[in-house]
Amino acid sequence: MLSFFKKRPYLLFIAPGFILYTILVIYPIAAAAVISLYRWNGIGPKTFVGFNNYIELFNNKDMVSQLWNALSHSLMIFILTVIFVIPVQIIMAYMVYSKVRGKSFFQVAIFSPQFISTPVIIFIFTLLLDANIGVVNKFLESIGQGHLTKPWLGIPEFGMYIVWIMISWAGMGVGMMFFVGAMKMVPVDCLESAYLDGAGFWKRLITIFLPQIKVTILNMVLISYIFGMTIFDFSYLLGGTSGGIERNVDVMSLFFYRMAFGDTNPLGGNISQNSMGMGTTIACVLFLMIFIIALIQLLIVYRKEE
Amino acid sequence: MNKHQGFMALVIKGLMWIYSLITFSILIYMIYNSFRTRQDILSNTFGMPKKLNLDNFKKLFVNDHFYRYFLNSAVILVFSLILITLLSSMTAYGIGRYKFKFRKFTRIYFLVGLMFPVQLGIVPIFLLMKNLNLINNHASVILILSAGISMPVFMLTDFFANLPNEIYEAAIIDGAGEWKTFYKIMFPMAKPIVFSICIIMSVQVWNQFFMPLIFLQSEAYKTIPLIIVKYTKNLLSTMDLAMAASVLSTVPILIIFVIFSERILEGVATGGVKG
Amino acid sequence: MKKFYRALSMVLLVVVLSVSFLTACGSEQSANSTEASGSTAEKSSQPVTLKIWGDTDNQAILEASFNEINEAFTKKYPNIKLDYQYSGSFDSINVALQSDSLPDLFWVQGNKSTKMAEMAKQGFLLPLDDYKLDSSRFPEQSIEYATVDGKIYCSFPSFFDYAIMYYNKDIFQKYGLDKPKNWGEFENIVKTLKDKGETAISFGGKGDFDRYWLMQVLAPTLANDVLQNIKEHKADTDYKNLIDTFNIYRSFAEKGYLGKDFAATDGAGAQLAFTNGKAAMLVDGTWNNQVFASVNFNVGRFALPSKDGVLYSQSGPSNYNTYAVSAKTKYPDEAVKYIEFLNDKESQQIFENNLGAIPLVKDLTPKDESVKEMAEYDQVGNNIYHVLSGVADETARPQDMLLADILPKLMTSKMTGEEAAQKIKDEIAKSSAK
Repeated sequence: MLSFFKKRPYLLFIAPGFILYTILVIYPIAAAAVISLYRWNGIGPKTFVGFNNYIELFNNKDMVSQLWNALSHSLMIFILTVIFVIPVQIIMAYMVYSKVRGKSFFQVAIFSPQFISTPVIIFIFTLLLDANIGVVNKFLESIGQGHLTKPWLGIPEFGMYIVWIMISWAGMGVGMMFFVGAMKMVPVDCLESAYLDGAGFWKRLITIFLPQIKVTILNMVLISYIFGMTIFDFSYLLGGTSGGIERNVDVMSLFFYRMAFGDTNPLGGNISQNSMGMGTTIACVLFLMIFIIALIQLLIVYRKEE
Repeated sequence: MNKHQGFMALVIKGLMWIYSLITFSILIYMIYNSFRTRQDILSNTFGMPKKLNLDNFKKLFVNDHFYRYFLNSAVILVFSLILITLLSSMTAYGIGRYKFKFRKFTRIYFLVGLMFPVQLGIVPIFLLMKNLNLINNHASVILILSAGISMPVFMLTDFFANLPNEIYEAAIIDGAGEWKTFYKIMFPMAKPIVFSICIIMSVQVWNQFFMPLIFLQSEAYKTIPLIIVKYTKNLLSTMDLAMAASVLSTVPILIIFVIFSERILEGVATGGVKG
Repeated sequence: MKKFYRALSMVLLVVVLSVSFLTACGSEQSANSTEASGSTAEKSSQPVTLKIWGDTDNQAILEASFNEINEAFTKKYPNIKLDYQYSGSFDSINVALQSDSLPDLFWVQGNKSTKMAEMAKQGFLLPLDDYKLDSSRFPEQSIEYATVDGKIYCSFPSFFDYAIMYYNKDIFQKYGLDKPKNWGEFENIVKTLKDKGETAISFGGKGDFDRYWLMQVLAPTLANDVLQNIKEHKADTDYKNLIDTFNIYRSFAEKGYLGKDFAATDGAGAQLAFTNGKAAMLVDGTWNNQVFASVNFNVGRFALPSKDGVLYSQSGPSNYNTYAVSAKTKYPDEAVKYIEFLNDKESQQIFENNLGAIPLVKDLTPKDESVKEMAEYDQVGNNIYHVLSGVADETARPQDMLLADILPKLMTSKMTGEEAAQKIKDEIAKSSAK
């Protein structure tokens, strides 16, 4: 038995994490997935219905349209993040890595939104952008540009962009710290040859660092995708359980929440007869959407390596 | 090595200063509000305050025994962070450095945790903890949070995989065992990225709301996010305390951040073989 | 290799030790609650601990009251200890239900939602009829609130909250306005304010509930008969008054009574605009009354009057002190003592002193003038949200349609009152509970 493990040291490295993770993460997910095969409101008895919930979900026109709407918003977050946020994080990380003056301040300041809890962030944004009492509009008025004032937070078409801005603003520091760490991991000898060649500041970034941290970037892309599909707080706080006016800030995770838990509010209301059944069904669909994409990325990236 | 050249760099630096100052001023604004009285915030939201005082903070410490929440959050943070770092590094190392069948499968396996909403799977976990008699005990929260290694494992695996092979082989030839090699040589080489992960996971653990909500049922065990939510739920009537609680919550995380972020940058980047 | 195992076992040992250490800390706490598993029939000498879950979301508001109440209770019943925690969030209660670990008592929303009925029907709650609770002080609606299938399952609500018009007395005085005695006067007020360039009603158009409160006050004032008919399941109701109400809601938005950019303002923004003195009126709940104690102008309140001068509030029993007993409690007798205490004048007066809420029972002393002002209504009108939920079923949900679909479209002039009423009508027709 000992030689079995001796030949496979990786097993012992992976075992502790594997055990804890399987018990506390995988098992609950499997248990929840099973619930999607039942009709259940969380309180009464469960009725087995096989794949009925799934069929119902995709046949119900209203639900399908909600799903597409939420999906489009989640994907929007993902794409905007990859196009705009990740490059900015890389550039900022590079500056910090290169120890520009003020780097400590940059790190703390850019990361600081993470320290503040989401409702407080939204409240402060509201104070800034509110139509009547917001600072931004007041400022515009005071410099005589009153006609430029807009109800920043209320324009329905802008809704999702505002959510995205808030999310990006809050998460800017996270990606940045990742990239700083990743850049610090680049072996010194790669750099030395570049200096000897006389490569400039930006040239070094593009020719040396980017290829070295390519995998990190791809990983961040995947994380952004997962994130877009699972982000919840901002849409919920800005648009309520229904996802805003005409569901303009609805995202996948909020859609799920609404189905599974949406019937609780201070006024009372009715609980849905199949809240748990349908809720877990949507969660499983959501899971598959994420899983398949993740699988594809991992297979492609790994193929490149080996 | 640190010569920054060019106009572009200057422009970027300038933009970063502006962005940082704006972001930082939001933090300052929150701190400033925490010193105002409720009446002042409601009636005079944007004006100059009549007076500033520490009343909100006094209330939090005396009436609410804020230090208790603080201690609870701290305990959970320390233990969770240690476990997460240890478990995720070991796992990432195992997956990253060794070639074995099911390696790809294992990577995906560990990523699954990010893909499912945590509220749905809570009941089986709750029953588990109930049977272990760990309800209303920090250990339940610590164990659950420590199992959330999906992201760290995912990010760390490639870094461990890319550590130079020569150093590894040299250590083995010198007679060090697998574990010693990992612990004394390979793991320290990944310090920058491990510290980055530590920072990010610290924030996540510190701001965790759902698990403490479900598992910490007595006031004596609750954590800081719960007290913040207590005051942000009815924000208008308790805005002053919400601000003050948020400020207090920020301080320890800020300290951790400063400590770790400096360490990421210090020292030379992982060196090549230097003889 | 040996060193590897040594190190690994050290790691595991540390984990196990830490866990046991922490468990030891925790088990002292849990031991207290599980030790007294003696027989339930024993009275007096055996000290009993009741685990009670209060409303997490409203902890900040309820703390002062419950601290006093629990203290008073323990004085009265020294052998019953209370482990009262604000751990009753929707999520925790759900988890407790599904894992069979409900506390002895926890707060419920009565028949305001179908959840309590569902819990009662599935046998999670203890029916309280055998304990012959004294319900003489309570009005019909309180008893209705607590009854499922003819049995009583929770303490009776002794307060109620409704949406009311708060107004800035200073601004009113400036234009010689006063509390309206009938609908005509109210229309005059909003028009005058608008003409003078003021924001008549501060309005949060962004939030589902924020934009709904205006409808909650308008509906019973202008269309109570329609609501009553819907509630009584009368087919072929004439919807005319409801159509008018919807049109008035829309016209308020169009005529600019709701301030600039109301569609973009959220609830907090609307409230802050009012507290900063920038708007003349605000529709808000009586539950928020204490917030307005901290502003620096004179605040008044009035219920909206109908065309013939009847002041209408809307029904909405407060769930601050409505608690149910778990069917599996080990101490039903003691738990019911707590229920009785909540039903008593003593605990309710404590609430009144702290919260200044509007009582449903007649023998409480109001906290201050503002409570008296809020209690100055003539009739409890129908709550449109409750009426619509009452005729909803699984697939037909007119109350959600009102909130998420109709109100935003009325507000942005994308729907007429006629269309809105027709949509509601159609939705109700689809329901099996109409």
